[in-house]
Amino acid sequence: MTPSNSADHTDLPEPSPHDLAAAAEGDREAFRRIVERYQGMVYTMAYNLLGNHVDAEDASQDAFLRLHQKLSGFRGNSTFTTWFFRLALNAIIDYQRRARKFGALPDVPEPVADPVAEVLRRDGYARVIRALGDLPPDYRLPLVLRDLYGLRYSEISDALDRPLGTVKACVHRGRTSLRLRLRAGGAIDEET
Amino acid sequence: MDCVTCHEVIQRYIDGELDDGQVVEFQQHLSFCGDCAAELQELAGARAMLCATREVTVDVPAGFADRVMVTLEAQPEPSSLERALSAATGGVLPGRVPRRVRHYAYYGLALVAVVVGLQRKYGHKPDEREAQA
Repeated sequence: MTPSNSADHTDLPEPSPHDLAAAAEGDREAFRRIVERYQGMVYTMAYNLLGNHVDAEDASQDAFLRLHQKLSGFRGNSTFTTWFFRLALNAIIDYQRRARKFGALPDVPEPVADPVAEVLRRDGYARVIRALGDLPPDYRLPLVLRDLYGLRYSEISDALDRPLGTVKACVHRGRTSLRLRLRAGGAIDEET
Repeated sequence: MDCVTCHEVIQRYIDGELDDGQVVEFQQHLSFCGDCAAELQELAGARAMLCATREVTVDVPAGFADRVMVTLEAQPEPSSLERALSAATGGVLPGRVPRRVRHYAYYGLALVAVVVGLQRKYGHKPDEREAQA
């Protein structure tokens, strides 16, 4: 299944073919370079889906361990980033399913002491993440997969192993709930 | 289109699932109904905020890569068979089997179990003469 998302992870520079081949053969240093390159993408994805740092770290570790197991199966039919995005997404969903962590209250990432624009951007992000954390458990994951990562409904249905109609209903209700929570939190102006 | 219908199709409009005629009807309704127009604007705004979070990369905890490597060191190296299997399947190994396929597999296993059970109970048993022969 090819992900339909056009999220920004595709901007990541691909690892060198040498590193990919070496890591697939068991070279730990080459694998470490891949971890360092992709840790931001994977950790952010895990955090957005799971809503807290403890689970995000555990699920991200699972994703990289799975990558280590499956790297030799990478054929190069798509970019490595696209292939790994799907693999990591499945690892995170599997983690969530195993741990049954739906509905855990999110902790909000620390704003970085960088430019003001970055802090403002992160403030908006923190509001969205807070509002997401307040959503009924079954709405969060389908909504994030659909509207943040741009997966098709059929892809979400496959990934979560839930009927298509249920997934659509959860996304629709999730959007409505998110809208109400953002409005209550002042992120959306009531007059708009 | 009335407000009830508009409310029913608003999410499909956002998903781009309405046909051209429905879009025209929907937009005509919005042109004179402030409540529905506001609902669409808020839903679209919430969705836009969610989309915008794509651009944010969460700070990875310090030492994350070290911890991954330590965990990896503690894991047994994949065997040559596992590597070969992974390579042969393009990295897709069992674990995410679709529900329908899983159900067929369960039914199949149950059927095999019943057949084996019946065979043991009623199946041909060699009598002593056959055994001696």
